Amino acid sequence: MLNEYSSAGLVLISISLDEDLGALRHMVAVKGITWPQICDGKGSIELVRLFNAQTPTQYVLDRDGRIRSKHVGSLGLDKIKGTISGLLSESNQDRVRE
Amino acid sequence: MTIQSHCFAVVVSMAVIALARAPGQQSEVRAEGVDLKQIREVIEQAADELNSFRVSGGKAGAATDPARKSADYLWRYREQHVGTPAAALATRAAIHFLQVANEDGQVMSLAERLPSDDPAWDGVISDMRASARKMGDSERLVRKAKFLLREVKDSRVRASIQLHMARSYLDLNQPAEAERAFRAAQREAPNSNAAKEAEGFLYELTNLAVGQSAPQFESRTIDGALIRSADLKGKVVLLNFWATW
Repeated sequence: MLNEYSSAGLVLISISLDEDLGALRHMVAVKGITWPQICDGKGSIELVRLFNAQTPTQYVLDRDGRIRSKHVGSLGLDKIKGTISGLLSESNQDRVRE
Repeated sequence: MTIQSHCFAVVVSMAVIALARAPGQQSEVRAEGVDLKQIREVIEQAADELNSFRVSGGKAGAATDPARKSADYLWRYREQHVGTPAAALATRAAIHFLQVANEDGQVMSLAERLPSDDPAWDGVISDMRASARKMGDSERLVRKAKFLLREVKDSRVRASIQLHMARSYLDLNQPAEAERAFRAAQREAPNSNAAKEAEGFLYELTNLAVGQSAPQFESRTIDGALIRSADLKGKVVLLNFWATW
């Protein structure tokens, strides 16, 4: 499903709160995760503060950079897929009109 | 699809262990000695057990969920040692284990049995909020919090009650009331954990509401690529905060 969304224009970026880059690289390899992983190896504190995301959290941003949805908890696409496909098709139509 | 299914369980046990090691309890360790140390160990072991259960795919609230058994033990301990710091610690942990096992009805009924001056309220109110939310009855938490605020004297406990009442207001989609209660939490005990948490929520209310522009950032990926929020304009973006632990 992620592939479907990314070919429709969704950009998925993870920010890892890990302090051990080795553990993160290992997990990314084992799970075959292909999208970018932001991590400074120190818990990514600046971004965590900026987005108040001490626990697993997802933000969906629209094409203008506005927050359109926020979800606290493990990444479960079923909870945010409505927002995402809405935004993708909505703005694709706008683009066609433009 | 869940790429960090085990993360939740770890967060749970981190919370319980943090509870067991709360700095405010250090002086009590010396005074109370063995009991408090024993209960800490019970809680840490129970947290490890719960973690293994979740990591191996165990579902919260399943018949085999060890959290329920740990909660029973800790609650019995509380009843036999009422009034001791170890009992307060056991009470916080018992309610927390029940909450993470989704025994929300039991969380509510046991919490209702605690007297207003029970020192465990600072932690219990947090799990009571989570359970009330899961039951779709956040109003109940707000009523209970208002009642407790008329009775409770301890400023740290009061700050925690304000914090979780505020979170219930957020659950009820009442941001103005939430903001007032978060600020009250900060006034009650300015240097407490509750006040710090309230600060994070106030920041979120002001800067991270749905419809607002997301904060600008510029960060590197583990492969060295630079990601700038300005370059993401024109794209629908999913930002996913997570950790491997």
